[in-house]
Amino acid sequence: MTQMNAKYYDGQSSIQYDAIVTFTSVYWDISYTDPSDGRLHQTKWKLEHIRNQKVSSSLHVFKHGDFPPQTLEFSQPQIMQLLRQQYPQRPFTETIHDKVLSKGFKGIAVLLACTVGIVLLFYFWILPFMAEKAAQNVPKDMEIALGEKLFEGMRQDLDIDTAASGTINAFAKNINFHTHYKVQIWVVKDSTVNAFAIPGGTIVVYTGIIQEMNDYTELSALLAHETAHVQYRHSMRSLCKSLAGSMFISLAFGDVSGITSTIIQNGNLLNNLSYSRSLEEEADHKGIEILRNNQIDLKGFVNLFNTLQKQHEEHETLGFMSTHPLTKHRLQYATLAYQQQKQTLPHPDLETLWDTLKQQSK
Amino acid sequence: MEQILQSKRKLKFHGTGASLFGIMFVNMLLTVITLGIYAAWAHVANRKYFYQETELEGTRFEYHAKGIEVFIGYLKAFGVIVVFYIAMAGIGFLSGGNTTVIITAAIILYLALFALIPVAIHGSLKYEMAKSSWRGIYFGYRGDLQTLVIEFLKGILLTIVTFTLYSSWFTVNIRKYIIGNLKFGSISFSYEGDGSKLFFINLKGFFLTLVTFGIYFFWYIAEVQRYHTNNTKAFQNGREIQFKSDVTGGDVFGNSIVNMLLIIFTLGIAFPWVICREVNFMYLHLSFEGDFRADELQQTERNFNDATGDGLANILDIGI
Repeated sequence: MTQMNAKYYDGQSSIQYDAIVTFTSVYWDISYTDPSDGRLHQTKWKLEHIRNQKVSSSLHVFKHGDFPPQTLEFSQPQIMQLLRQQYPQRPFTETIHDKVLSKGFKGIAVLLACTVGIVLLFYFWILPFMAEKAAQNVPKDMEIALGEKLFEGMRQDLDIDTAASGTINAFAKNINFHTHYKVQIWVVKDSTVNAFAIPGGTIVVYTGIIQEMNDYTELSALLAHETAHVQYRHSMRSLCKSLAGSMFISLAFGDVSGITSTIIQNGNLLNNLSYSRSLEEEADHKGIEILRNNQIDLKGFVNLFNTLQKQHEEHETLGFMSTHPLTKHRLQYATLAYQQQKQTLPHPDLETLWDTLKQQSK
Repeated sequence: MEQILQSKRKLKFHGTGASLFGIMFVNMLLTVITLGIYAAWAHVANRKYFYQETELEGTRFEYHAKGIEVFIGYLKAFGVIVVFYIAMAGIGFLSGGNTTVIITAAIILYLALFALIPVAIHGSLKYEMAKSSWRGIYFGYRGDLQTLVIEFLKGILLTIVTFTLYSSWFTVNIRKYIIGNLKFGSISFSYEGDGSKLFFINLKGFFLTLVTFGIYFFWYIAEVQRYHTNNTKAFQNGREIQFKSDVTGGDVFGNSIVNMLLIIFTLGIAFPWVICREVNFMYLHLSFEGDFRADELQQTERNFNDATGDGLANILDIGI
């Protein structure tokens, strides 16, 4: 039988009684003297109804019963040890919080490592996987509707050449792009040397890039690359991943302050840029396959990349930052494919349409 | 013969920046791992620390909120907000561009949003008070929701109509109602401020702050704090216990500057230490004068487990 002194509150008034608690195997026996009449009172606490509420290492509070509960306050630090000895079966548990804090620096360090690990795992693997799945499952008509809305928004700022657009679409009709999407190409009068694809099948080609190209094989390569972006839903996937990334970060950190959110936005951007690079490479590979299947000369790809390389100032160190992989690597891949190409056919219809287009784009 | 003691009692804070840092840091990590779900438990752990480290007459306060109750409260509050947004969006759709419909709907919805604030305050107070105790005696809030909502809407409308001039009377009315309905076991409270007196304090504060390019602001803050505190009383068995504040503008100025510098020079890491400084500052300048008999509190308040108001207050960013 073991005993300890404690302060007792009966839950009916705020009178602080000095009590002696006896710990038996079934009960806590509490006896205290009422200072007003000198009488001795006794009460029993059933083990099952006792709740632990640790305050600090020097103060332990226990409650018994439902609202309003009775209270016992122990100020001796040995109380927990005594309880563990007396009732080995019944752990007077603490919250997760206390458990972690009681392990000191080691506990916090472990928790920190786990958190960082899980966050990284999520951000670099699970999230991209989920974003991919989401992008794949977006129904085709939704994607096409989204693309139309996007293009509507852009359209006012684009100086569209209707005649050239007609020609380039006629050109595209002669190539089998192996795509389920209805491809619609627009030529925009702009000296920018670029082209891009919008979800759903719309492709924009600037007259700038048409000027730089030399024959129909290069245009075929460009269109094959862009339709690959459409067919494999690259814009959709990129969008989903970017959304998922930023949503996850703000969810994990709860309220994000101004500074942190800017950092997070830029950090997420970096991740998106590298995703675009792998998508560009995929578009290259699929584009080359399309040209091969149509038996168009793959020198078109090689020449296209040479043209692009002339345009971009290549800085080895900034490669990480650019949205397109180093043209050197793409060039190497295309050159290899060209060297391995077995059979090509002439395409007079494509040649004539190309000449018309080149004229119209001046 | 009984000795009636007029003694000055203060709250004592035992918390340290280091332990608070530990709690807040663990809170943050666990919240991140659980993608935000732990936030409810973190909130409780945080508050619990402040209660447990506050001592009155040798006994600490206790906080009995449960993480799961707060979490369910958040979910319900979130549900309310969602219904709100759906209603707003729905009206937008169905109106089909009819401007009169949109305007009347917007007015109704804004009124409803304003009405949500007293709902949040009421629910939050009921929950937080029912989960607070000292020496086993629980606090309580006995206010009526309908009354508070009406007072609030009246106050908001009058404030808008008078271009915020009415706000001093609005503040006093709400404080009076809420404090008058707070209970600490058998102890009751009252607030006896006057709208016009507060109005002059506010007016003085506004102009002097302008004229001194903001420096007077600290003195204004101190004056408002003293006004509110010195007009608050507690009643125990017919005896009056007066709340007193002796905080000066200089005190507020010094405290604020030090706290600001601490935050800036430690890039925010000193935040837990600053919070402890803030609490110590508050307790230092607050005292209770009168015949408070620690043994004579009776248990009178009831239990209350619904934390929806609490959740709403958090979402709407209202602090209690």
